[in-house]
Amino acid sequence: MKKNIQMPKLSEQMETGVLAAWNKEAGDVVKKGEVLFEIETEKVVSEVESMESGVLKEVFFEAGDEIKVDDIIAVIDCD
Amino acid sequence: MKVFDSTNTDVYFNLAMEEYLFKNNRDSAYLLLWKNDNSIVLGKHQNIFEEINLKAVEQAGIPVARRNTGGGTVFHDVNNLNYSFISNQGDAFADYDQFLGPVIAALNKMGIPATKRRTSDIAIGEQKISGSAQTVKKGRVLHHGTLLYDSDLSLLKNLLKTSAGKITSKSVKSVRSDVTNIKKHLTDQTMSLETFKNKFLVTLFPDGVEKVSLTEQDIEAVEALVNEKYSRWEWNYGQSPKFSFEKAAAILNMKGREIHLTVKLEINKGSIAKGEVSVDGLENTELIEILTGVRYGYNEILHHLEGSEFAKDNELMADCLTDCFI
Repeated sequence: MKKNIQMPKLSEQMETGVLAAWNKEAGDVVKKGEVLFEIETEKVVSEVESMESGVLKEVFFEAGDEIKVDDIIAVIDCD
Repeated sequence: MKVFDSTNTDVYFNLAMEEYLFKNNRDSAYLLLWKNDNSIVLGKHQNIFEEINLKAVEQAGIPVARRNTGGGTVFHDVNNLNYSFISNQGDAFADYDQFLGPVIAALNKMGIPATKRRTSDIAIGEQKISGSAQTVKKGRVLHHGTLLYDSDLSLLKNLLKTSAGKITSKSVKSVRSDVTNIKKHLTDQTMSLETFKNKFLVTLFPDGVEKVSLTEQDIEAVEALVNEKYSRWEWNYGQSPKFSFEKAAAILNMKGREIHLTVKLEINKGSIAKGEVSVDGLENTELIEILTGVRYGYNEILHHLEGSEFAKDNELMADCLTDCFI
């Protein structure tokens, strides 16, 4: 089953976040709880962990991109 | 709240200590106070090559360290006091006021007219005395900041980026601010940083606070983290986002002949991945072949160009040639 990963809304005021770094690449096996990517906003670094185990199928943004809250960042093919 | 007052002034040790206390003993809250010897500290997602003057920093032998929080590049010396709050904050995000509030209130009680500026700075008038940044993980927050007490900021000038080359990347950029030292604004001009620090602690915690120090076991774990991560090229340089570099330069060879070089490089994970060089308008593959896979740095590039056929054939000094790539 495929599942979309969206840009999380980390605070009331947050409208966009910068995907500052990828910790996984497309094609990588991902375990639940592993860090997928990091967001930086207002000088705060926040690690986003995978809620699923599976394979990271598609990645739509690269490190440094500013992304709107709820936009789809990647797709995971769940186990 | 427990207070650690670090006596170690090694930037890598102090950053590793922060991470260790952030990730372990997760039910405890801490305030860390620490100072670093001359060093440059980068935000987690910055491109080191875009922030510093590589040649000047390598030649001055100043350590460069990547921290775990966001934001820009800061110069540290022993007259800058750093503080770190580590605590559990639940779902709050980017809440700077819970930490900046008490710090500003303590400074005000000490007679320093400090105010909050922007989201995460403290200033006296229009001049910044403190910048801060955070990292959050599973409801735990690390908030740290600088307190410029009596720093010699003139050292910084030639260490920051001045290259004639053009760097393009999507890294987090630094924002330059007009800064001032706290000491300049005190009535007692003889107050040492040590005295200032003790007064700050007493003002912050008028009812007293528990002071603790790292156990031998803690120190071992922190030193392991220094060796595995904080002192390593892979973390400080190799973690930089990929970028491209372009430079056009005219250099003189030993016979006084002018040679025109244009250089385009792609740097990934801190090393030269590919590029194009032209010499007097003609494509040259020799130099790129020599440099592909080499760590991007002045001494590394110099080392690979010294004794190269290209330098010999064109009667070029290797350091002049190296300047074209930095």
